[in-house]
Amino acid sequence: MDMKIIIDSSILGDVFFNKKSKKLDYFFKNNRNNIILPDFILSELHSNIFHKKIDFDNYNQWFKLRWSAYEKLLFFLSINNVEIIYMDLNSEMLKIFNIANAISSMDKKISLFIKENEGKLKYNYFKNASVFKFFNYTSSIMFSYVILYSLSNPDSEVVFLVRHHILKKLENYFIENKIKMVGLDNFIWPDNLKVKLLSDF
Amino acid sequence: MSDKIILIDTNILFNILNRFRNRESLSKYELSKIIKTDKLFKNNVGRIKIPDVVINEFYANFFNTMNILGSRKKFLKENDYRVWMNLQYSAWSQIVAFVMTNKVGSVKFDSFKFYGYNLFALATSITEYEIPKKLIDELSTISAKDDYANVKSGKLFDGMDSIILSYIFIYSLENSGKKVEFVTGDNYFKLGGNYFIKNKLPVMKNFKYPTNLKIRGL
Repeated sequence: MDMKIIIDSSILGDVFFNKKSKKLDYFFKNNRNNIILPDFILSELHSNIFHKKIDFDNYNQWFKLRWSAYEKLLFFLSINNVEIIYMDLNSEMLKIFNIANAISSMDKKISLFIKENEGKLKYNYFKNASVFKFFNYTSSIMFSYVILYSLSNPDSEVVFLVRHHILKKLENYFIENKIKMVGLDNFIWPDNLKVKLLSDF
Repeated sequence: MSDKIILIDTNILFNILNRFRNRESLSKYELSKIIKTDKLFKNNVGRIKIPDVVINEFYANFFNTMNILGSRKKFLKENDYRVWMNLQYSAWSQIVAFVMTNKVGSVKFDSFKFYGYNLFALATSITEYEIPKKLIDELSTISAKDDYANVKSGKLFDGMDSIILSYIFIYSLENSGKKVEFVTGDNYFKLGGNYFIKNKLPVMKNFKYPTNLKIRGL
């Protein structure tokens, strides 16, 4: 069974903003030919790079700087044989927002997750934050994408590499417990998907 | 082209939510948005639809970002979450009731035909495109008061915006026999999106912009 590793945009953000560690370098080198970058994650990365903190007063210069850093990122991805994949518009993949909406509205399961992890969910997971985040921003779409990719590639072991401990725990909780999706009667969880952190490699 | 479909942005859902807050706690700006939202729904019964991608952005903001009240050292307890989530649900049910009363429909992504366009690739191309100087000048002249968040964070199509923009492009192409309006409270989105449509910016090879779409403010 071959392995496919899907990297979260926050990991790529570390590469882009030059925050990459030796561990991350080692990870990319060690997993050559296994890492894939889906179009959805690329689109999220782009909006973070080119549409946030824009310097409207010096846009040209700002854009050139960002673009050159982006080219460095592309170079880094290319020397490590990271493959960009585009969404196959089959009928299963078109359920992406249905699944994402089911995930992001699942209160009872998150509640159970909190109950089981009470005490472990210490505030220091979010040292500088004033909020607890579950499937916020685009997390539920990203997770749905990874689920659908795993279902369409049953012969591969799929690993979703995330940056946050809490997201790893929460997503694995959903996968391992095969949480019933509200409103999606025929939904089947993939058996070949695991969510991991960099430290798990 | 007599029929008109109105799609709404996530910030319109938040305006509906504000209708049920204590009026005294709202600013004049928020109150004016509520009045405009009410007017939009009252004048367009049966024409308004909410895209599933917008619902998703709302859920992510509303049900998945929990403000931690009280002590910063407080641990998250199951009971805290239940109480908080029940409050969120009761607020959401007010939106649902409002939406049902005004006969608002929904748009499902899985009913799209796409004509060979890939939603996420289009979103990627839009965000990769260098913003023309003329648009930058136009964005810079918008009142800082109206779009304080955008000015402060320097955002244009960040987060879900590029996906929402691509989504409404493809939806409009599929409904080419109808006039489509996307209503948003985000002036940057309005100005930026309309600029892309009007100038047919070549974001993606062979992409044809819809001619029946207009992005407008409240």
